[in-house]
Amino acid sequence: MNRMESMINKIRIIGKTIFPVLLAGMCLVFLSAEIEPVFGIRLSAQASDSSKAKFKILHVMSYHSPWAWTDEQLAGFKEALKDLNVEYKVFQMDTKRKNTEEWMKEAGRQARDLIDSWKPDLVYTSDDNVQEYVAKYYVNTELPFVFSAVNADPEKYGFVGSKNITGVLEQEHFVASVTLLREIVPNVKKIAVVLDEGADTWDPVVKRMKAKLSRLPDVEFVRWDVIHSFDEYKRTIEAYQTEVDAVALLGIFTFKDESGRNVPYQEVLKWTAENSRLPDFSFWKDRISYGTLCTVTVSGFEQGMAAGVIARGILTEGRSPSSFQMVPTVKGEPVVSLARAKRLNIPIKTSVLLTVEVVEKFAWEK
Amino acid sequence: MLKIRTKIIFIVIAVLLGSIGASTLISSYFFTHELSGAFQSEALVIGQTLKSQLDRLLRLNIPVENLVGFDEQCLEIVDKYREITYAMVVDTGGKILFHNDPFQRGGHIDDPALLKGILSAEERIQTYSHRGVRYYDVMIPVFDSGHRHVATVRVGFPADFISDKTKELFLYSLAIAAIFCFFAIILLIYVLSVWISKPLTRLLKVIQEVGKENTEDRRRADIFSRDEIGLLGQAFNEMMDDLEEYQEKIKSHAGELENRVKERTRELETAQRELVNKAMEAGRAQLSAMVLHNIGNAMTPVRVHVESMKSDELTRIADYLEKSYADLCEHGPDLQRYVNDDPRGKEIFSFMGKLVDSLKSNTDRTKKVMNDIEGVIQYISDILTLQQSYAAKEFETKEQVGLNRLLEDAVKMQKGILEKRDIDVRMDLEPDLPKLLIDKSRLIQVIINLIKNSYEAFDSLADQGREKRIMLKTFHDPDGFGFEIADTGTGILPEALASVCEFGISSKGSSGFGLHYCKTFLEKNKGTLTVSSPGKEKGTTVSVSFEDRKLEK
Repeated sequence: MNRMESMINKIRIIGKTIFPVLLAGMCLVFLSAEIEPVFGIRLSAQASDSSKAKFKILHVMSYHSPWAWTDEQLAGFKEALKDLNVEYKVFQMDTKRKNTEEWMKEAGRQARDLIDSWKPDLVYTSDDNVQEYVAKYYVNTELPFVFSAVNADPEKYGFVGSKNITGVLEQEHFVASVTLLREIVPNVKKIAVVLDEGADTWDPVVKRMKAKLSRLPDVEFVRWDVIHSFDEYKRTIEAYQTEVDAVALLGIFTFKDESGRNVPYQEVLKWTAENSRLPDFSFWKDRISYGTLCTVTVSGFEQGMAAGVIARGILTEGRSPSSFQMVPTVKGEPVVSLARAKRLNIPIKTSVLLTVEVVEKFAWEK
Repeated sequence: MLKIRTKIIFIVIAVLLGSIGASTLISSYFFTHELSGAFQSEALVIGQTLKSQLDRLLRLNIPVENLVGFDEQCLEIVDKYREITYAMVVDTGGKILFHNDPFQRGGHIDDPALLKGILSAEERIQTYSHRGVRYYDVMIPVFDSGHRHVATVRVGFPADFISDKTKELFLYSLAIAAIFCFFAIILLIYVLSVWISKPLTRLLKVIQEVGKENTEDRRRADIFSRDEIGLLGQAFNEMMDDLEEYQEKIKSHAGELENRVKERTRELETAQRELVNKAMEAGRAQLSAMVLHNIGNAMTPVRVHVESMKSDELTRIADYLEKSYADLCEHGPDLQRYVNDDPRGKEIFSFMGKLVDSLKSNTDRTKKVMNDIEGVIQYISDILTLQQSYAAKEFETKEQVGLNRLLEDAVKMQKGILEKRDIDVRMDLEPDLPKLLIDKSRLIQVIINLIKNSYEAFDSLADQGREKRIMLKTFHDPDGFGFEIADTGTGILPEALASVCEFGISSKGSSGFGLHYCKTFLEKNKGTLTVSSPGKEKGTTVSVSFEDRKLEK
């Protein structure tokens, strides 16, 4: 009995000792959980000094601004770093509007001069041209580079294995685009692919598409046609009307007319919208307003956001750029041309219309 | 007997159950009310979500009737919100354009009340019954880009859903309440045990120990809380301190008192001894007086005889004889003639004969006196022997005594006084009495004292001509044996009977110790003394008895 009472007394003493400690601990946890979100106070000694440091980031874009594609990328990048103290400087190479070799070299030189003089903490580069004329000159230097919207193989620029350059690849959402097309036109089974002479551009694309064909077992890509002129294009499209159920419009930039003039892709697309009865798709959003029925395009915002996340890891966590894999973004942006659907007399299900970006009119109707 | 803890727990359970019951009922009422409002609001929001989707589609300039697959959005709503039973889009003509149940599509709404709601350009919530089920029906008008009312979104849920929810809440509340009650009671039991029961039990235990053991140990309640129980414990401990202080004082006073009592007891014992001695002395004096009285009585005739013997008769006889002899001697020579012839001689001779006769008569009388004196001396000797045989000793000496003999001797010792007072003494003695082991000298003093009381009872008798009788008798019955002394004297008032044996009570102006001593002595020897009297002037009976177990044959 005495031993039992002694044990009970010990338990009581331990209880009296532990209970206040537990209570205090619980109060501390409660207070930390309550105070932190309200007052921004962290009771743990993990206050991040890096969040208060000022970073200098130079964004070198291959193209220009304002343009939705480049602007969305920069917006996404900034979104990922929005709580950091960052000083941005943007350099536009403007190689879309000035696409001569001389200009691109000059623009690249200017960008490099700016890098050397301003001495940023990190350089953010977008699209392919800046990689060719700027980034590849800094491979394996101490200056970190993060890229987005690069279509070419990074190997081409010497990025693979480099210690200071990494980023996000721009790879077309092939499977998602075909799936969207089949949601709009469920009976599509045979598809023809149109390519122009830009083999350097399209070969990697075709290669990636063919690698993913197994994920589309109900669809057959019956034609992969490289077309050289606008006439040939027109004939081919007319031929497709009875041969296939849909057309993938990839390369449409190098067609020449009878006079040898390069036909703008907008004109090619307009002709297609007015003359083809077949639904078509592509991988770029800008083509939708010119008549392409649908696409799941690469999202510029997502590209920029993914690049921003990498940049944040490098700047705030001290991670090496080589620790980030160079991979494409997963999330695409579905876009549908309602005008083209109406012209093709295709009723689009409300479930599609409510989940995609709808382009109501052709560009030439605006 | 219910413990305090049990009582408190009962009270708390009753209060908890009452509170929880009332709270649950009131909560259920308000919950039903609020839930109904909440579900209606939710249905409205859901309907507005559906409407906003329609708005987005209509902004694409697609006529509502040309939309394809909006049933899926309706179905999504019903799938997502399980309380929603149906979701549909109805055109202004009552035709169902889209419905979560595709089989309903194309149907018509015929209910006038519903049609009125459908045509309304404002949001409405109304109830209606369909196949015995009452529904809350939310109607939201849809307008096209030209602000034309082209359709109405309808979303509905059954009214029973609210009552089901209320039931769920009620059961949930009851379950929670039961769990809460359980843990509350456990907590209450624990808290009451720690804060009240155990301290009280400790206090009670200390109180009981203090009450039981009357111990010298300093027992205190180990209660250190600062609440009322703690104050109670503190007050108890202070009270114990005071009590101990008082006990010490009482002990001191008790010791002092004890000493005083011992002293007084000693004094009383001394006084008692003195009284007993006085009583003994009084008894002895009384006995001596009686003896002297008896001797005196016996001596009175002797004195008379002696006085008579002391008279001049013998002297005169002797003188006469001497004169006669001298005369004769004078006439010696002619003595013969002188006695025969001389008248004087003759007369002398005759006178001498008479003197001889007188002398002889005197001698006889003297002989008789001597015989009487011898009898008196013998009587006195007997009296003295009797008195010596009952002479009281300093210490009690018990011996086998016959009550009959004692009574007879006591009467004998007081015979003179009794005869002088002309009291008729009668005795009725039981012949076969057992002997009694007792100090006979003290017992006879008791008897003498009782007889004395009896004959003194005649002194104040109003009617002195009344027969004065003392009746002594012994008895032996199954309850015991003893003697009884009854007189026909002045008697005792009934109200005085109870205190007649008390010390200091006397009707004769004496110390009042006599009867008290008699009673004390008899009780000391396992006997009883009872005094009875029919009343004033009706005599008194004193009865002394001893129990059978004291009999010694």
